Amino acid sequence: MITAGIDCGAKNTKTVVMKDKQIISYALIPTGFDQSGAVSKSLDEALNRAQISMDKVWQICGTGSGAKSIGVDIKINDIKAIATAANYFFQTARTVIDVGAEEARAASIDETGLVIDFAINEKCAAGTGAFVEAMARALETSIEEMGELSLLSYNPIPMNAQCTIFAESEVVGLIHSKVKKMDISRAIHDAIASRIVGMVRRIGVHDDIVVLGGMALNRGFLSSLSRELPNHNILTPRLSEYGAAVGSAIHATRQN
Amino acid sequence: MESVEAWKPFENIENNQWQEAEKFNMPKGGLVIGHLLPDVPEEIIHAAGAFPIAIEGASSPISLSAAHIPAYTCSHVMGTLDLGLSGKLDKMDALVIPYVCDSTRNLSHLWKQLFPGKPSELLRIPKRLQFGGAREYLINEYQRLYKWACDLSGNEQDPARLIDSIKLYEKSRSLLRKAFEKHQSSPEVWNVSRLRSLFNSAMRSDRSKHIEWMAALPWDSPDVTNPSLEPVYIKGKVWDPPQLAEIMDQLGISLAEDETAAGRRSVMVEIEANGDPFEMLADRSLATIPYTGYHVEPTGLVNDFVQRVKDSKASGVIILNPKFCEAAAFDTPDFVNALNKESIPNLVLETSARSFSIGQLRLRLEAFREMLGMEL
Repeated sequence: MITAGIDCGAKNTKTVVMKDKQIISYALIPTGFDQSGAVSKSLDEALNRAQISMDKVWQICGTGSGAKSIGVDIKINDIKAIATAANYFFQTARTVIDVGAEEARAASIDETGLVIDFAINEKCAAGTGAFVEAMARALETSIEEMGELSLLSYNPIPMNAQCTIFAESEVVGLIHSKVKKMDISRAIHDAIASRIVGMVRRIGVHDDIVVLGGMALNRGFLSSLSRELPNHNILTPRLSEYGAAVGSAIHATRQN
Repeated sequence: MESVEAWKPFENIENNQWQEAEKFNMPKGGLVIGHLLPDVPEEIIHAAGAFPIAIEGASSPISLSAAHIPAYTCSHVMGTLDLGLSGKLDKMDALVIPYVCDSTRNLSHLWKQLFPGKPSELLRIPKRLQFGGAREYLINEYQRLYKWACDLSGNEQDPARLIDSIKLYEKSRSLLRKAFEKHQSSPEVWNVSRLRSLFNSAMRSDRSKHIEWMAALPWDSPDVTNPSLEPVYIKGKVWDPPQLAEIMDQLGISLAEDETAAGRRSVMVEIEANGDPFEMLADRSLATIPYTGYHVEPTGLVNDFVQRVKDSKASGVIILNPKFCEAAAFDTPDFVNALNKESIPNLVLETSARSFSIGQLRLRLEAFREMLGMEL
């Protein structure tokens, strides 16, 4: 059985194609203003890579903030999508964190991937991928480099600002105070990790924690998260950025 | 009358909350007295010959009030001040503010400074409800409020008239209680949005008319059990944002109980109109589920709440907290912990006109709806 899952996010639209619940292809397209166009392109690209025609796809399931633009019958919300994906990747996981461009979410799940409780960050960029992007711009570096830089730091610096705009000013202040870039990078990741863990604690933190979303690719952030959550296993799948799309594709297999 | 038509009068008032107050005010120059929630007895204002109308600031956009109070003040208080400053309360002659927290007390002081032409009264509701003197204190406060309202309207104080008002309002409250029961037995017709419309319009209507309109509702609609509906218990202050009811209907969520200040809590306790009217009203208030700002023995408060949830047979609990409401923010973790201990799914929605996004609200409710269905 071939299924596809599409996650139309604020920044990127991701598609995953599965055959008998195994990932056989995936594609990522910047969402931009044309959500429907991004969805079509992303699906076409993933199918092309798998050399599969649309008529061979059993079901397609959509999710994400732009899910309305996905012209399919089956849609699931982001929380269910990440919970399903976490259970698919790591069956021991009972907590999943997903940090996307505009929103961070966490869910507590049971052994079948059903959501027991969840939390979503309030309407604020602090605690999301957008925060890290803004900070990378202020540091005049890339997100990737900022992640690696922060791993070199052994000097924790508190970052007090709770808001992205003020945090950017704080970063500029630290730059002018000649604080090393690696220490500022770590401070940024520590700040976002602290915010996210504060949210996760509301729903309970379990031993194995799956991290999904674009931020799961950032080693600096994962390191900060580990410091915030000592004695927990932070697990990231290879295709962490595609987490919600994977959850959707799995959900599609359950439809008759 | 078509059943759809029967709901129109209530929807009209929801769309134009001042419609009935204007009708009362325009021909006779009658006095319109606004009141904040919770727990201001509308009967007292009515008996003074004025038109009581509930003021809810929570869903109002914030702009002008920011110059007068800190930005982290609760949305209900800040929104009310903004309504006043933006001229949206011009049809209101006076305001009653129940003193339920520091923010409402401060609003009262500000109101007097900013709107000297719109008299206001701070109704000092006793917070220590279990204190022996609470009843006497509340009776005195109600008497003071009645005198204040009568002085404003120029009418004589008349206990018999107050009893008549209590009877009228009790008739209306009885119909609202019956409507809530119909929602539970016939939730397709009496859905959450319509139920909300009834409660919202009642607090902004001539009650005699409201009673007449309610008589035309489809009370004979058949009882239909819909197993796909998930009944939830609602706790909080007001239904903020108002679109919440519509989303709940779309997602197949019904109400097992609604103890918000703007919901069934406001009509929960039935009284018989005989005896001293002030004592009746005080006893009713003291028998009502305590509002979040009141001081009640904390363990009992939480245990009673959990028991009410269990008794209601709700699948889960939604707690509606106005953003920056300190009283709710302090109480909520205790309630949530107690619900979690009993494995009762719960969702805290911290809402405000200042950070209002239908999409985010829907996502939270969708995810919560999927969590439900587990046995309590």
